[in-house]
Amino acid sequence: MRLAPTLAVFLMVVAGCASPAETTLHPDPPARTYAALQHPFRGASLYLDRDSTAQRYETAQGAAWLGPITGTPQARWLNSAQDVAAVPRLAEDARQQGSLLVLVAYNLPNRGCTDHREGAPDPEAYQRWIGSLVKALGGTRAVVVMEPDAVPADCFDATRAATLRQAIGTLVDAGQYVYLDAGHSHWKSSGETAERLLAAGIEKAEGFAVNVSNRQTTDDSYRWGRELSDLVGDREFVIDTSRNGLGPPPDDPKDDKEWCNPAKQALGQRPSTAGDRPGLAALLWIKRPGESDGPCGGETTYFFAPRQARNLIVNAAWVDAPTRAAAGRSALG
Amino acid sequence: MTLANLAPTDVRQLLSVRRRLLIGAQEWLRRHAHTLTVLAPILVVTALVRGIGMSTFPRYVDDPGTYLSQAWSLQYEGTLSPYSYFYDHAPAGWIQIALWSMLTDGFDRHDSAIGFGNECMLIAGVVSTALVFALGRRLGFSRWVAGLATVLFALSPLAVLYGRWTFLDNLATPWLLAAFVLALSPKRSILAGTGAALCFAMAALTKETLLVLLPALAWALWRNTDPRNRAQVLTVAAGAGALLMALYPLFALFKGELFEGPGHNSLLGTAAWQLAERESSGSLLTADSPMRDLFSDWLAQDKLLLLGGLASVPVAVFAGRLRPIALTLVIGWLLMVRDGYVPFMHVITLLPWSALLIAGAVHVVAGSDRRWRVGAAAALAVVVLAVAAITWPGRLAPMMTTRDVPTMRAAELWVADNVPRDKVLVVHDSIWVDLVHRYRFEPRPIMVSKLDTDPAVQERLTRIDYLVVPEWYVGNPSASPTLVEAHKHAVPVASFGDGSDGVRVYRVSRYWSP
Repeated sequence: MRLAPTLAVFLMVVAGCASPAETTLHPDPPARTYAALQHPFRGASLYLDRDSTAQRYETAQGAAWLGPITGTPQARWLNSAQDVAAVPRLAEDARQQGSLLVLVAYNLPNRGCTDHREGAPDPEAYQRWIGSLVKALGGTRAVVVMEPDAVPADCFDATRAATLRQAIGTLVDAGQYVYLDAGHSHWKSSGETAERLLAAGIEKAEGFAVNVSNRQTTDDSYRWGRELSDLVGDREFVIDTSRNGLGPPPDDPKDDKEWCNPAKQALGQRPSTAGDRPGLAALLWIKRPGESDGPCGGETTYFFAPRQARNLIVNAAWVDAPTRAAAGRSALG
Repeated sequence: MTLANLAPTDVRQLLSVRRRLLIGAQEWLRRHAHTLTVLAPILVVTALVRGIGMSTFPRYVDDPGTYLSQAWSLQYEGTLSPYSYFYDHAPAGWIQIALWSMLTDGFDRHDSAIGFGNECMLIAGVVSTALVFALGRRLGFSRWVAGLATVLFALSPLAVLYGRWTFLDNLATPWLLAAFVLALSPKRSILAGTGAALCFAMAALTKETLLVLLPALAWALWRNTDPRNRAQVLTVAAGAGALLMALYPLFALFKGELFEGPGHNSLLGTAAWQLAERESSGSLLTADSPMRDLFSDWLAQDKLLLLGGLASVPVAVFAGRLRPIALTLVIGWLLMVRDGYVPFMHVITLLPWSALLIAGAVHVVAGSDRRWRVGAAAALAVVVLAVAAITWPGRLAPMMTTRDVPTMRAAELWVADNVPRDKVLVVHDSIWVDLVHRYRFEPRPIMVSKLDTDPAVQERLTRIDYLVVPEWYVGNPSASPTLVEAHKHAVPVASFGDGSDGVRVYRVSRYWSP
């Protein structure tokens, strides 16, 4: 109490020295600007490719039961330089039909994270490949689903993000509609996926793809996609419903046979461009039903496998009973 | 009655109040002139060193925010906490902060609650510094030796750093020092003894862990009492202290929260948790224990005060009056080797006693007035001051000159500018008051420390829109599972600083709910 007067003086001195705080730390990243959405699916009909392996099998074997697959528009996968050679014909075809072509770019360096021989040899080669794709499409505007699994994969890094960003830029500048693959609802969290999509340049793309080649239900995929869409500037998304008719196979950590050519699977909902739910651009068949997941479940290749196609059709709720019965009876050639 | 009949003291009554005050002040100054010449410059320097730069250093930590929110709640809502009061600490600390704020409009005077807390700590620090001087004098030190203790306590980088954070320990220290000053009063009166006990009770009501120092204070009081009235002094003092302290459990009893029971917090339940269940920090003697890491952090700030104080404990053998002081310090060190929970700010409890014992060593060496002993004591003091002069300025300079806004403060300002007021925010405790009081977020933000610990918060939780916490929180599932889950559905929209103390503002997806 003897100190009170002295104290008061010191406090005044100190208060005099204090100056208003200056914000020297500025936020990073700065606010993002998103490109305006083009809505390519609105009112569009999807391109149906009659020159497919399944179609050739159907014709050769007289397997009319394959109709539910061969009669449904699907995406065309581009896995290599050779695959791009077929693009001019598809582009021309689609333009004449007035329908929307959906392509899948699947040629990223080290795309599977385990083998550097998979995909383009290096980022420069990849950009050249994207350039050749742009050229092959010419004046046709198509939907390009970019690089399934590249974003959620464990080997995603800054280099991969930069590669994707540059490729997206090239395609979008050429007038193509890009949907970057985001994985599916039971892989990475929406938050982590959003960060990766943003790193990979989603701002410029039309949106992202959910459930490609996977079997999560449409409702679950939509829930996850909606959540994710809100985190990436309300970009729209497409859901791959090609094989999710029965939902995901039971998750058994000891046995990964279930996700690879599972015995119980079914075609999912048919493609739709109605976009009748907020954020949803389209339901697509991106994975081509009947193509094998790889050497597993009795298959030896990644190519069209009639037994897989038959399983998918037999279990599909929306396919009429006679066709399912015919598929079930079919002897596989 | 004529003028001639008046006694000399009564003459004053004829003077004006102003005149009397002036004379009183002059007398006071004359009596304390020597003390003031030593102490006043020290206090000025202390206030400057501790005050300059306190708004930008150190970084925001959570406890100050918690205490300030409780003080705010007391002032503006009349409750001990904006959440269910959890009895994790006795409330006297934030009651004092709230009183100062009510008197001086503290939360409105500053542009951040942490800024107001800093001011409270500055006052407490200067008062503690003066009390260290007073206690040094009561221990028999000369003014210069007492001054040495005061300088060591006031300006050690460790003391400046921890003294700036709004910790209850910083508010308890003046009470504890005052208790010893009164316990060593030369008057040895019942009044002084009672005052000592009341001050100690205040210290313990401010930071309950200081109760472990009771034996040291009791010993000091015992030593200083005259055998002729010792029994009375101790009885009255103990009674008064116990009575004041009993207010706390009585308050809990009144609220029906003394004993554990379903559906409510309880004092005894929380005490049991604090004493027994909190995760041990390990022992100082175990390599790689959290305690050892914490100790290394303290030493990195200043070795002189901590180790010098410990090394000076044996001088108590030569000076009886120093023994209770040494005991206080030894208890503080024993807590660090016992393998129990040791809080981050425990070091605050060690500092004044370390400073007093180092000065005590000088005092003991000086001993009688023999010239060679005085010379040796002076040499010792010079060595101590030289070590301080060499090692401290490099540590103190950044504390006073850093101009970068603390990352959490920068994030807070960004949120105030960019986030709509009706969003639900989960925030670090340190910015809660500002968002509620200054920026008027409604519904109120949720303090991250309460997100998973307060059942009422969990019950009402329907959505989370933003997260504003240091990075280490989101990567640490044990900190808050709900926060970690929300983070999985969120993207960073702004980030400030790097590393685990960096702060990112996350926006949670509208289509996710907890």
